[in-house]
Formats: sequence, C-alpha cells, structure tokens
Amino acid sequence: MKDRVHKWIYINPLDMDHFEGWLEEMARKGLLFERMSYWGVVFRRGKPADLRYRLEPTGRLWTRESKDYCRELGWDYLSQAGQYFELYANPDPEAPELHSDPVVQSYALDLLGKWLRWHLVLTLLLAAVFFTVLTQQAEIFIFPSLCLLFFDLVVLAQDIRTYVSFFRLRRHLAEGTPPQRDGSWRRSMRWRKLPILVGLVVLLLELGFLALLFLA
Amino acid sequence: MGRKTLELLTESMFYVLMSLLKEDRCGTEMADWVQARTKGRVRLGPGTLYTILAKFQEEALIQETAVDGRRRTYTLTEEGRRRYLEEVARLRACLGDAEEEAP
Repeated sequence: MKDRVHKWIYINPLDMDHFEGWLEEMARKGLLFERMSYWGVVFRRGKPADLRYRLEPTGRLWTRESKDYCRELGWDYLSQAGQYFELYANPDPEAPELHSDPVVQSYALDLLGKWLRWHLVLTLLLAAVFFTVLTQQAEIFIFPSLCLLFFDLVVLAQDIRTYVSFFRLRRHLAEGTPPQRDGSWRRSMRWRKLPILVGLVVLLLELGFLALLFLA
Repeated sequence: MGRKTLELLTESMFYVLMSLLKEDRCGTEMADWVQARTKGRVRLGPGTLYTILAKFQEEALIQETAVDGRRRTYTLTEEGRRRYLEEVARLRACLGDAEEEAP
C-alpha cells in the first residue's frame, strides 16, 4: 500500500470551516495532511488521529514571538494552503483554539474579505462580458459549444458558492458564533465533484456527437 | 461601507487591556497574566492574541514600546485606558441592574 495518497478533488480553503472539517475527518481515517499540490491535497498514511486543523490568513502570525507562542501551545505550522491561508495543526485536545474568540477571528479575516469582495465583483463582470460576447456568436448554438458554455456556468456557480461560504462564515464569527466543523463539509465536496462529473458528461456527449458526424 | 469596529470589547479584548493597566507586557506575558487572573477560564489562542494586538495598535489603544529579540512590549495609550474605563462602567451598570432585579 502506498504511503502517500493524492486526493484530486478537494474543498477550496476559502470554504474554511468545511476544509478544516474535511482534513479532520481524513486524519480520523489515518490520512494526515502533508501538503497541497497544484491539483489537490497530498496525505501521508499514519495512525488515525484526532487532530485539529486550522487556517489562518497568510502573514498574520509573522512575528517570532507569535510563532513561538503557537509552538508553545502545540500549534504547528504545516504549510501554505492555497493562495490565501497558512495551515496549522494541533494534536492536543486540551490546547486552546488557535482563535479562542470568534469575533476577533472575524477581524482577522477583514483584509482578506475586502480583497475577495473585489475579486468576486471582477469575476462577475468578466463572466458577464464573456457570456455576452459568446452568446452573440452564431456558433454558440451548436451542440458542442452549448455543452462547454454549460460547463463554464457550473464552474462559475461553484466559485460563487465558495465566496458565499467565506462571507457567511465571517458574518457568523462577527456575531460571536464559533465555526462548526461537523459533517457539513460533505455537501461542499459534492459541489466540488459536480463540475468534474459535468465535464466528463460533456466530454462523452461531444465524443458521441463527433462520432455521429463521422458516421454520417 | 466598512463595518464599525470595536464598538464593544469582547471578553478577550477586555482582559488584554486589563493586563496592561499596571505594567507594559509582551504578548505571551499578557496571555499568561489573563489565564492566571481568570483562573484558566479565559485562555487566549495565538490567532486571537495577535489579532487583538494588531487591531488595538491600529485603533491606537496600545502602542509598541520596545522590541527585544523575540519580545515585543506594549503599553496602554490614553485612548486605550479611556476605552477600558468606559467598558468597566458599562459592565458595572449591567451588574447593578442585574443585582437590583435579583429575586
């Protein structure tokens, strides 16, 4: 049995509580986070463990004193997780949370929130321009292009859902509600699988379409 | 529009200000002081502690006074002391109301 497992489909770290919940479930199954790869997450096989994984916006715990305090409480820095976060883990169930105050955690996400809001607006504007231009072309109404358009819409919907999850979590934190790392990550995982399934269906349909053209 | 910050101090924020009332401290000293003062009821996680310190510096409630190796020492500003006393008065009023309403 290989001692490394690569999961190609993973939850976006921006969907913070679900990403953390998913990693914790993997650790309970004996798959311990090792690193992010370009396409997914690499796990190392080990003993099933009750590990806590927590994301912190990149660069927030940058002083040597804060790094020392993290280590003192058992919070080990593991790696960069995606573009915006650093990942920490703690095996000690008695250690305080990385963020022991949800309201303060919401402040820690303020800067990232501002950046993501602009990013979301820009994504929607670009998508609006892209789809307007695309749908004005006659070729779009042929079957393969329609399939690709549908696939792009699914990917866009998934991106928007990820942003919405981030802002929902930040709002709950600001209201004083701590994050829930229950099994609700499964719903996010289903959403992550959807574009891949749609992509496969689109590919099969297009191959079928080309085969029909060839036979005709 | 940006949200208004620090309208209310959370318990962690309140205790961080309290830890600086009598002497300047570094982050880990504040965390230890708060844990001892509250008999372990309030423990500050690293993310929370250093976010509070950054936020308080931004709002000019505390300021850094010295950097000695890994230690960064902070002191309470006049504004920080005012906010702390304001919060104490608010909590005292809440407690007074609760005591008057006690059965």
